Amino acid sequence: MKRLITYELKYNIDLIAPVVILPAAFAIFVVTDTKIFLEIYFLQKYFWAMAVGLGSYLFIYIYLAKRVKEKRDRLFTCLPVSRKMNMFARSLLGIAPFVFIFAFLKLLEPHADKYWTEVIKGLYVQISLLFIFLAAIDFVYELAFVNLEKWEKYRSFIQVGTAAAIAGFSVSIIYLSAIGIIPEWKAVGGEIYIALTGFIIAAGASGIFKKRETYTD
Amino acid sequence: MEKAFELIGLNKKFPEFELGPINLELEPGTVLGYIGPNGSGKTTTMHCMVGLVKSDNGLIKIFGRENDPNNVDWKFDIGYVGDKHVFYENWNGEKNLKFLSEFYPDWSDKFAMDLAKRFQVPLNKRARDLSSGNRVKLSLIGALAHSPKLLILDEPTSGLDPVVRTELLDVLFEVVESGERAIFYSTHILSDISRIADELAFLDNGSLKLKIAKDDLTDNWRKITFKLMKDNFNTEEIVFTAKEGNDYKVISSDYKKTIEQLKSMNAENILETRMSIDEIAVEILKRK
Repeated sequence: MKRLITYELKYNIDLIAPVVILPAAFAIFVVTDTKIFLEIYFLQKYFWAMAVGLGSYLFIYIYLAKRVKEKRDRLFTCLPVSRKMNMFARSLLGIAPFVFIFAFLKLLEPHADKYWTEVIKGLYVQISLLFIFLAAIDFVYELAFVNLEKWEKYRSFIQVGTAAAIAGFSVSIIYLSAIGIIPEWKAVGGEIYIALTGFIIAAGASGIFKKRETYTD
Repeated sequence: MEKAFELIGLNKKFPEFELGPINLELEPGTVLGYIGPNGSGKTTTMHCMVGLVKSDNGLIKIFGRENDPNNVDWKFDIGYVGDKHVFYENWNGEKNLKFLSEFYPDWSDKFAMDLAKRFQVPLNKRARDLSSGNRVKLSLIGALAHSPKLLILDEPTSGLDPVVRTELLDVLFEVVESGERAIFYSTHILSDISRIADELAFLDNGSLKLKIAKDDLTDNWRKITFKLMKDNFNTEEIVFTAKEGNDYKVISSDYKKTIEQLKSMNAENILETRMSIDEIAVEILKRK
């Protein structure tokens, strides 16, 4: 498992580096209390959310897409590595960036003033939601492989259902933000519950991975 | 002595295709050609063997050990060149081989480098920039460098030009000559396998038609023409009959027996002709 993870990290260093660099850059701004885009309301409010949250996840998404494109599951399945170890390595590589950013922000929080604490709390919720989003994509992807016959039969239904669920999820988040529930979540540490939901979905996806009918893709 | 592999009632169902049940085995040190048209189930059989596809029923044993995905000692004994060649595409050949070497205690860097030199694989080139021939060669180096006892090769020469095909077969021929390794080689290009195979297994539409020693096939199958004053002539050994008046053309799987029968029936102008493996394969696969 260690070898699989080490080689994946080495190979994808260009995609993993931003996941470290972006939060590190954010930390510099927090510690030095350097506020930017104060005159542009939208950027002032969402710049860091886009840079640290969406920015990091964009690279994680590219990593996952590249992994699928290069048929890494097929490569690893042919190696003398047990399915269980392969599953753990896969799960760790998916979860680690999220845990890293989350932990990094937790360590940063005590050094932040009121303004930055608000930004960080917003980031917790955002990265937790993005984590759920990626875990859900992985879950559906794994479902496709666990029973090919059913997948072929219900492919359109699953695809449309997933698109609808993602759209519904996004609309709900916008709605919850608009009516002020997300700020309330922030106040009560709701991001922990969102993150836990993400973990449960990711664990489900890993469980399905182990039961796949094929690892050819 | 343990068999190199045993497939016992191997079965896999897809919505529009079913493989098996297949019963097949291979002795260590022998080469089995797995022959069948495209879509006959050759690749699926191999995918099941290496663990890429989960079979629905049956048992697969590699040197006596079940191909359990969580107890993978059996994987050290196999080298697999599949229908697709997967690498870290942005890494060069050398780095890809280095990656593979980490997983096999018996990996020989020297052997890998010797093979690369022999095959003229540009190891400094990124995998994604390699030609299809060089990708096959790199896969083969990866499969051979840990000296597996069983090589599973899925149409390794498919899509290669004749020069590269010959080079590749030369290396396989050397591997076979050492007499220690078993090779399970799927192909629909019979001229490739006829040079190195000891046995041939014919697969069509998911069913195993016949498994036979290559020499038995080439020695016993013959095309026979003769004249017989009889409306019909058929025996168990006859796999094909064409008749025009009293002139017959048959294909027999045991020409000596057929000729004896013909003589006893006073057939005239009996002429037997040897058949190539390609011709025999076509007849076997045509038989329902």
